[in-house]
Amino acid sequence: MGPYDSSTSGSGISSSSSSSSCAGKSPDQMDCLLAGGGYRVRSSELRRVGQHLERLEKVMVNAPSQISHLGNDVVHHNPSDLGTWVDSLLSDLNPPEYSDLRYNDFGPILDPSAVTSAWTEYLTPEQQRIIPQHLTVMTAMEEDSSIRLVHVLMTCAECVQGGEFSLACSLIDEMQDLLTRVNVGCGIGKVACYFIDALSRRLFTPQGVALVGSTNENEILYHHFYEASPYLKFAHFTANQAILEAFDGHDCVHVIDFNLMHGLQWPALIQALALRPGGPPVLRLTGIGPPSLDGRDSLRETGVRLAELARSVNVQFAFRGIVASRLEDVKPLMLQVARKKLWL
Amino acid sequence: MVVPLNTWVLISNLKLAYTLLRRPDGTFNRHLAEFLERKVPPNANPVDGVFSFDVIMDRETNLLSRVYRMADTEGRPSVDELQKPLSSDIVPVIIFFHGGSFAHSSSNSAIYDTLCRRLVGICKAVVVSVNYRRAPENHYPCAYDDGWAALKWVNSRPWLKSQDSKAHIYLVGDSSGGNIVHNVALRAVESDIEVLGNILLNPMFGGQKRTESEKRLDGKYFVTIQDRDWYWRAFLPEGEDRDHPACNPFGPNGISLEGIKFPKSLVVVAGLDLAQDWQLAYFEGLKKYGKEVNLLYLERATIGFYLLPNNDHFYTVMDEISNFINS
Repeated sequence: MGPYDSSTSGSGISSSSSSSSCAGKSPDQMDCLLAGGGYRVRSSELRRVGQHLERLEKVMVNAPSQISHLGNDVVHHNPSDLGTWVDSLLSDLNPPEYSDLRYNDFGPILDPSAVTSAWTEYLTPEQQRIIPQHLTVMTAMEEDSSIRLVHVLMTCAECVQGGEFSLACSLIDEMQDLLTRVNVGCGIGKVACYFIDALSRRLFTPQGVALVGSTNENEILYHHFYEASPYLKFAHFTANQAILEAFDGHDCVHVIDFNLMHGLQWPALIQALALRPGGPPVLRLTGIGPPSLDGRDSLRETGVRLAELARSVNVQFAFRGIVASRLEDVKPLMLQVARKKLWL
Repeated sequence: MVVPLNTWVLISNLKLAYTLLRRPDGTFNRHLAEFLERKVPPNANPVDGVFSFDVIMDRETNLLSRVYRMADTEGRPSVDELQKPLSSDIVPVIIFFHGGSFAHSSSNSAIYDTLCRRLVGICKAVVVSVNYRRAPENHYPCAYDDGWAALKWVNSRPWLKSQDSKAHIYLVGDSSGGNIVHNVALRAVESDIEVLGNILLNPMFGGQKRTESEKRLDGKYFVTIQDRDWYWRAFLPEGEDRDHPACNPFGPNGISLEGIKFPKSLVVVAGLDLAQDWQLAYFEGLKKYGKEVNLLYLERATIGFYLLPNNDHFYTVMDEISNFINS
């Protein structure tokens, strides 16, 4: 549907045409304009929903005290299913308001057959309470499947890590099956979906194919992940707390990061040191990392960024990068640990 | 009925839902509001040539915005292509402020997501929809602060500059968003950030006195004076009345625009909107100070007519917006 959908009828002055939704669609289909607003209403239902809204409006005007009840004590079902939502509000009003509906004239725009269908579609309040409603309440089966999904997911991940690929594959199959029994739009089902997808890619992408995008893309993704997820940040936070405590009382400190990457742990530490009562120590950071694949000196770039930050908060800072493909290649001598400093 | 049935259903439903949320003591049922609000995620896969993604503009206030761009290829842009520099000569950047009377809706509301996508296609622009802080939790001037932060952010993105190394910025908003447009433009005046134009759709303005249109149309077309009063009380600082300049920019406490370089404006007024006297007063106010302003008065339009493309007013307004931006 482009910005100028020529299939919609243009003039909107009269209400007699109930197909002011997309022309040419059967009345059983959802009104596509309301769908764009997140609401599912069949074209054939539009009029009925409109009448019920009108009824609710009358209540709002005549008995405003009912409103706070509707706002507070009522269970609201899927608001996208507008018809059902409106009906459930109506049924929650005091019975006299509700029973009114059966006997009142719905107004001149309605034809008798529509009245009948509205009547038959109505459940009495008693009936509505007995019939289980299409809620976001989980059935017992869904709950069992969700729990099982979590267990199988963990097992599958362990298999992938341990190299047991054939077992992992059959677990993936089992999980795909479990997914059909849970709600994949939210909750455990949604999370599991993504993890299963990721594990599948790990298992089924042929060797040698670059799984990852450009270095730049990875960096951006990593940053987004760092921002969005609390886990990495929290791990860094706790580590930094331990470091701060250990550095207490020392004026000259040295941190060796054996896997610097983007150095995301250190800005928070630098800032915390800056705010230390008694002033910040002199901070030396040695960052170890693998050689860059794309010719950039990313270790140095990270160091420069951190140095900038340190300068802006008046923390004396020195950085040294050590490039090493494997940790074993790093010799203690390279780290230049000075006697008087406290290093961690 | 003056509006098409599906528009009537949409706006009546919103009005009903909103009534459930406003409490007489001035508080707001935010949890229920968020539950009832129909929202959509961003979508980096182009749909009808438009893709979207969310950005955080300001960490301290958690200011989020949704960016909408034209796709230049069929497929999904990769992560580092999302903020690719603009390819054409001049690409307008629309900073959009959604409506909701300062209390409702968000950038990811389905109705506004749809509208912003349309604006991209119609104006061949990038649209940045600002998720400003809402009332009653956040009173004046939070929404304006967020708008200002967004303007600064947009102006400083290298990838939003056109070939002439400048960002071609337009401020567009409906209802409370229209009010924000005016106030952000005011702030920009004292800076070196240039706003090329303001577009206000059914902007939310008011004042202490009851105007003729308010009395005549009270409760007739989805809106009541009572609910307008509630929203102003929710937004304005405590103890202030509706002649506060945020509500009544050309009223007794209004600011003079004498000698100020203010962007050209397009003000769209619906003839069945009870606030039209205030909106027309806004138009007159701009004219009085010699500012360039166009008025588009749609006699038989109600609020929200621009949300669904099923009426003539919608097409009229979209054409007008397109001409305003591309002239």
